[in-house]
Amino acid sequence: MAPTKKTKFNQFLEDIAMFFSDANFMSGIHWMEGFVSKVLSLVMVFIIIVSVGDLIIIVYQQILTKPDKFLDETLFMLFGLFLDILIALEILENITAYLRKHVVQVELVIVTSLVAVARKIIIFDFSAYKGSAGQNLIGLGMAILALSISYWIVRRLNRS
Amino acid sequence: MKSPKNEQSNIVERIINFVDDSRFLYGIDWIQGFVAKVLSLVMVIIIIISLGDLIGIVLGQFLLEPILVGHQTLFYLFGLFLDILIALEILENITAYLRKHIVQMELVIVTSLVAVARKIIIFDIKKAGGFDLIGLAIAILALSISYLIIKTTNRKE
Repeated sequence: MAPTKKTKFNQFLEDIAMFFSDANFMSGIHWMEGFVSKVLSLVMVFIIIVSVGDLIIIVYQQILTKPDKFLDETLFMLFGLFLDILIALEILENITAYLRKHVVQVELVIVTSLVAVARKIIIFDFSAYKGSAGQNLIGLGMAILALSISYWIVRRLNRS
Repeated sequence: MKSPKNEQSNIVERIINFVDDSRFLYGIDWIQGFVAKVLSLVMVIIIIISLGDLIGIVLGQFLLEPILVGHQTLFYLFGLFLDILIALEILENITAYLRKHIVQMELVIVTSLVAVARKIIIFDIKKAGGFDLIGLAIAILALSISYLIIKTTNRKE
């Protein structure tokens, strides 16, 4: 009885050692990463679908309640909502790109932040920040400049 | 009566053997691999727990107030997604270390770029002003320039 027990225990130890061998460990991590990014994509799809539904409802309500003030009040609010969903799609793209190559792609991340900053500029409201509006706008300008320079650098490096 | 002396020299020999360069390096190498594996396992646990949290938060937000767009809720959720993406990136750093036993500068810089981009994506001008945004912009500029430098230097070698 004793020797079989010992070999079983040895077998168990060997299994553990096998799991911790570099190759197996790496493939396990790889599988886990794929699983995580799939779950993330699913959750993001859920968020996007809910947001699109919300967007439709909000637009519908705005049209019904105040069709006369559509242009000067609600239009930019709606632009913001559209760009929100665009950013969500962009982040989904980031996650699925990660699923394909297991590397977070810098280009995509930079593009996503560019969209986010552009959204802030598009819906920028001077009257909301009295006094500090100019400073905020300078910040946004700097951010766009920095992001586009870094986009240029990353594209140029990855192409060659 | 030769044994004590013999034993002594044996021990000395073993110590010398141990401190011998190649063996010593092999031992250090093994420890590095071991530490990297433990780190990855801990990171995997962290990622799985955060994933569970994320699902809980998203469902909770949805049940609490089904209108996600239009206010800061959506950006809060974006921030959580990008958090997990950064965690995956750090895991990538660790496993890359496991593969090559070198902390890869490019990956580290890419990770910080993702982190700064996350801050920009969820940036709320109403809470933090333009000056903070200038700081983030300079950080992005610095990171991408250093990415450029590292890439071109590595290619030359």
